[in-house]
Amino acid sequence: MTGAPGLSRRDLLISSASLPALAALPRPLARAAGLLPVDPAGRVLVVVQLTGGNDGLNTVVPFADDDYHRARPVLAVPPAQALRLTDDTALHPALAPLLPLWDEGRLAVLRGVGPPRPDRSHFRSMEMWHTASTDEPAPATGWLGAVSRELEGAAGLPAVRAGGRDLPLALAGARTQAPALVGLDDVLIEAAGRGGAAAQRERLRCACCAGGRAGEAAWLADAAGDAFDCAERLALLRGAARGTFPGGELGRALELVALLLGARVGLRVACVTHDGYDTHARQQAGHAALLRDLSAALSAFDGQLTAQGDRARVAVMVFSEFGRRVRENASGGTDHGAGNPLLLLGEPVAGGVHGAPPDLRGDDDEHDVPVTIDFRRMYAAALEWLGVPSAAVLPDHFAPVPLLTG
Amino acid sequence: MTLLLASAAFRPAEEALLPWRADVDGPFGPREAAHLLRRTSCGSTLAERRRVVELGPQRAVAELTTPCEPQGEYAALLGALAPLQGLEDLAVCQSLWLARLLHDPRPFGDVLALFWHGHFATSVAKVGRMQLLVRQVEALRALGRGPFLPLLAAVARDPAMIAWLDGNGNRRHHPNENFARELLELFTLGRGSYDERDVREAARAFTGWHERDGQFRFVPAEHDDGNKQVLGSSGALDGDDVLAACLARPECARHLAGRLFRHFVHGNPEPELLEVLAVRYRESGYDTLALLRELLCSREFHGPRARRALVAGPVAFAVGAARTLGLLPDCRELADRLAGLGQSLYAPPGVKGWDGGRAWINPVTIIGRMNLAASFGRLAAERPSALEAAAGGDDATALLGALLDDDVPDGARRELFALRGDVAGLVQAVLSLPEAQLA
Amino acid sequence: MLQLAAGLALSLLLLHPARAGDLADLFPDGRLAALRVPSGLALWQAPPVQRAIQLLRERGALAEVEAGRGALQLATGTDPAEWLAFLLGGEVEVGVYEGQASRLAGEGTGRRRLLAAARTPDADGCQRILDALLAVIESDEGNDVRRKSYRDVPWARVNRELLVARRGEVLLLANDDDLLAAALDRLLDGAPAVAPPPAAGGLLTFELEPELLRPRDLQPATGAARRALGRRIANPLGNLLFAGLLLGEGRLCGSLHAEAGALELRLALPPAQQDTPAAFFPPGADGFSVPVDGETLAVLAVRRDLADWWRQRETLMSAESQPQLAKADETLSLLFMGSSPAEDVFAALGTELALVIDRQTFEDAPEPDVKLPGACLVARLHDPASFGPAVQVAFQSLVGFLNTERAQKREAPFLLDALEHEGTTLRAARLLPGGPGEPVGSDANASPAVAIVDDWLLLGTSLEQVRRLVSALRAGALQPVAAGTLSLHVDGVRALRLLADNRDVLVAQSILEDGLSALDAGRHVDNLLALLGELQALDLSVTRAVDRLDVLLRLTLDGAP
Repeated sequence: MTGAPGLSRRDLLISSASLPALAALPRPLARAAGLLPVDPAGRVLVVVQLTGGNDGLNTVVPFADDDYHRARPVLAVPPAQALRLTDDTALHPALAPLLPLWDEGRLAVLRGVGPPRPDRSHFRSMEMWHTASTDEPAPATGWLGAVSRELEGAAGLPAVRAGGRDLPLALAGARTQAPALVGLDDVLIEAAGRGGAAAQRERLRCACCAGGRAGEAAWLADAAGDAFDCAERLALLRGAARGTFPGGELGRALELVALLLGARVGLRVACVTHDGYDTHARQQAGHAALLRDLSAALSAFDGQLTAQGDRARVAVMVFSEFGRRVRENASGGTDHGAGNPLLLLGEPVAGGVHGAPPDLRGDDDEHDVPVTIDFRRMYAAALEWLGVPSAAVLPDHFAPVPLLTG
Repeated sequence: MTLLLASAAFRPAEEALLPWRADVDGPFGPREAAHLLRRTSCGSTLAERRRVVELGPQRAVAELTTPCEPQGEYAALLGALAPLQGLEDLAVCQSLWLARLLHDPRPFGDVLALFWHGHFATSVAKVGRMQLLVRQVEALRALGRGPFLPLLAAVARDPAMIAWLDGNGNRRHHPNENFARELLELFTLGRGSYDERDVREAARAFTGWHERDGQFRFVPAEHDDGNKQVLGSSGALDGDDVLAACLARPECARHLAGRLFRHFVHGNPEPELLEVLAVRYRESGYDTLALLRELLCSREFHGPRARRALVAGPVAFAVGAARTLGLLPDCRELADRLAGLGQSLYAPPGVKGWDGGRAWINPVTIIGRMNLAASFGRLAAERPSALEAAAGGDDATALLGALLDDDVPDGARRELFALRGDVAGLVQAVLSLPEAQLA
Repeated sequence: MLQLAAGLALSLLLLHPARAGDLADLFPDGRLAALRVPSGLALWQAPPVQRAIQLLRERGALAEVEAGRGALQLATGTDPAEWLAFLLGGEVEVGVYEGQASRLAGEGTGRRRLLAAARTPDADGCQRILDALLAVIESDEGNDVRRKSYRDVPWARVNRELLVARRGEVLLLANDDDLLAAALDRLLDGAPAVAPPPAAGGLLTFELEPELLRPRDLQPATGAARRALGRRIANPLGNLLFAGLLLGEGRLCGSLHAEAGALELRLALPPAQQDTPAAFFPPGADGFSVPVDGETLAVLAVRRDLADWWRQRETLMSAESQPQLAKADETLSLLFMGSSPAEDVFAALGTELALVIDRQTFEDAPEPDVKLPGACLVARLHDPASFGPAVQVAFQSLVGFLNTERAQKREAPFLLDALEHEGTTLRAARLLPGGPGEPVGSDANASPAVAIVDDWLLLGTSLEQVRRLVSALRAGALQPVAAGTLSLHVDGVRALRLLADNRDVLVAQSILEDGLSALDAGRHVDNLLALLGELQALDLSVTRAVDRLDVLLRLTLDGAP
């Protein structure tokens, strides 16, 4: 299959001739037809972190490059099995569930992404990705924390860490500590006592939101009202169909994010992680299993968003702190590297393979895939799309990569 | 002329710091006692409040803040918990600290240790070995009341702190500035009172301050003993010299006094008030206990600006509720819930510790607090006699009085009285109120 | 004369339990679980039950119950124990039903519904007791008792939860209106029997739908417990041991029996499906033997084809555990110098496997605060000459791996050692002792060791245990294990000794988790230990019969003094 399909709805939008025609359609119909851009105030960025350093060369495979096969006699993905995207790029076979997204033009691959001076330390590299800064020592605020500060005033849950109790550095610095949610129970109100649960919740709500308060108590009462709203919306979805997500950390986390989106609690940014990508030895089977898990979870997420009607406003960004060395090592694995492909999925995404093909020439063991695109350019695009001024988040100006549209 | 100036020199700041006197400033009754106990011990039983009223403001502060050896039942408890203290398990260590806070008849030492733990925020997530963190907090508990310099010196040599801020990477020919920066920015002076050169030179002074196998080890070969200039001091400075130089600066006293004030009194101190406090703090040789005693006795502390002014952190909220209601919850489960509310003991989110105040509050933590209140409600219903002994009753009146000084709007009061006879529901309702989140 | 007649009547009653299946007729369709007690009195008087109650009473654990009983007796003039004996001394049957969707929005499906029926000796007596009980309950202000009537049968609702009705000599209890109504209908109209009851036998019998046992439905209270259960589903060890047992569909049936010195629970699991993986039921002669020593407190023996099981792990185990299993496969392969785990490593072991658990005495090693037992895998090797060295090299590499991980966490490393013991070379790894004044952490429980004696492989966590087992093998001290696919034997006395070793730790845990004072926690733990002290042995065996799996759990109790 070749790249993105021909004349898409997006192309219609861009052509200015169609704008007056759009204005004539009643708004709900137009929105339903996907012809209206989604209001930036509803757009959601889901950041999926592959922890450990994903082997990008075996994920987005330069199958036609002889250097690739020469450097990885054991680990190279055989061209016959790789899923072709373009003439020189293919996907690892385990990513098959993502092919429908590619065919639809909603999967973008950005190659050669990384910080300007790559570091092979997990900790340092993650720090750079999370704080969007190459300063040393890194600032204590994360880029998503800064985003969430800009979104302040929005009620509900603007920024969330789903799937774990740890708060990633990316979310640090928000005005209020972003919540770390593991399951739906974290956002449902239990009721104690002999009365019925609903009656008790109602009583709690009346007591907390009663008027006649001042100062901090009044502020807290408002916050409590907000919390009750969120809890109510989420409780309604408790029995709703949730789609079939794979079990495991990532599946559960994305299931929770989908639920939060469906509940309309004002979610704008969500962080999830998938662990285990630090494949120094015997990489083949383990990496394949991880990618299978990843693509199953992402595909289920996309499906659930469609079912919920949220697909038009959600973009998923999949990144890892660094790629891996071009040459495989003696233990059947790969060591820490530099440049890596970044994946973008979702309806707002302009599909295709972007960025320069990885330069694999060079014979030594230390050869890394070079970084050709500063990761902050991707952040800039995401910020623009979310409606947040880049200057408030990034340390400098970065030209956004044009991968996200309305 | 000079007489006029002299009288005008007695500024409002100093007045605010004068001790509260019942005959001049108002009665020192159960409300004032509850307020004092909330800030020093997280919460209080009826008996504890009565005692404080009896003692009066100054003697009560003296008694509450004086360290005392564990005795009687508490000593037996600590002895019985000893076998678990060596475990490398985070959940166990968190529950042990919570058990101390819940059972200690005089918990101010642990409350203050929690403050210092947030100030010198060090997380086991990077340090790895639990025992190192446990020992650090033990040191904070032991030295927390005393003068600041020995505490700071102990922290600078603490193996967990060295591991946390990459002290082992701080070498003569390749200094690592991490510790020096946090020392100046967070632990002593605060932003803007030093420049990059101070950080660089201070880092050189701490080269060779390493840890090995969980013990502090000074490595002379890695120490840069050349001339340095830090904050106005110069010479072949070593780490201790830099610490002394920090404390010599008035900004240090201001920074620390400000932090202590904002944690124990309220979040909006007048600049002149802080200035007075800072001067006194420095002149006393950074005597933390004296400063705290002055604050806790003061009119500012008992005045309207401090009453119910602070959003209670998760630990303070939970321990306060448990102590006031005579509850003894499952400490392991409690530690887990508190982590969900944003305060994981021994594992603060970063070098800045916990921001506190309104940052504790978001929809998820509010729901979490209500769910914690539900579990406390169920626990209270199981042991009604303990509840009666601690709060003086198990009805709405007693609970409102014990927890909230009976200060709630009428709408809320109506809802609570509708829960007659339902202890669990009532406890949950009272603890879920906005007022209950304020210390 | 009257007494003789009463005694005769009573004995007649006991000799002729009510017509089996009568009470069963009252239960509507759709029971998820059924529990039948032919005679409540017999169950109560069974020696093990009596002994347990006596123990608890001696230890003061029943103080509150006794106090309540005394208060009730004062209030009503009769001993409540007599009432209970009257109401529940005859035939009793319980049924559990699926919860109904709640009518209130946002509540989800309700809890499971329960119905219980008891046949009391006489209607008037039953009514009198009921009236007295309800009067006592009503007298407390916090309680709410409403009396209603259904088809002229009076019934009462207590605290909105419990429903009670009596018709004739049958007493009915339920937690759901519709269920009680259905039972009363069947009682009044005489509905035919629902399903033939299983053969009566023992003190009680029960049947369960397996879905009741699935952790998802158990809804444990705390997040931690919920997470722990969640892990177990995907846990490879649990899978290896138990997955083969749960492959069938259909009801589980069981019964409880008691003799003078033992309590036995017999379960019949539904027949396994046609295509049961052979991995769980490899062919082989029944009954094998395992070395044990003086400190052995438990032996878990299974018959499994590990190679086959590992080969099929993608279908046998959950999807979310696959990445970790893949990693484990890679690591095993690495440890064994590139051999395939399924074909070379697991296939080298026989199908008779055992895990021997020993108490550790720490005679020549530092004693940690928490004293954990040692666990040793015992297996036969097809080709010890070639596989033996491979295992020893793998052990060496394993210790190397462990040490690298420990170094990252700044923990002390393990030091490799080779020792001779009774003609066998043992390879072991011991922790270097820590500095002076450092507490002995729980890591000191671990001193991994491996030994090969003839064609026996011993791989354990405790060097002292492996030494003892080598001696046992040399001396021919083997213990036969029960035939079947899985068996477990626990020596109560030795297990108790292990717990007693850890009494202080148990007390500390009780303080933290139960919120008790040091004194009360001590008493609580001692009560627990005394109760467990009554247990001489625990035996579990799972055998495959033609059309089902038989599970037998036997608790042998301390003989009466």
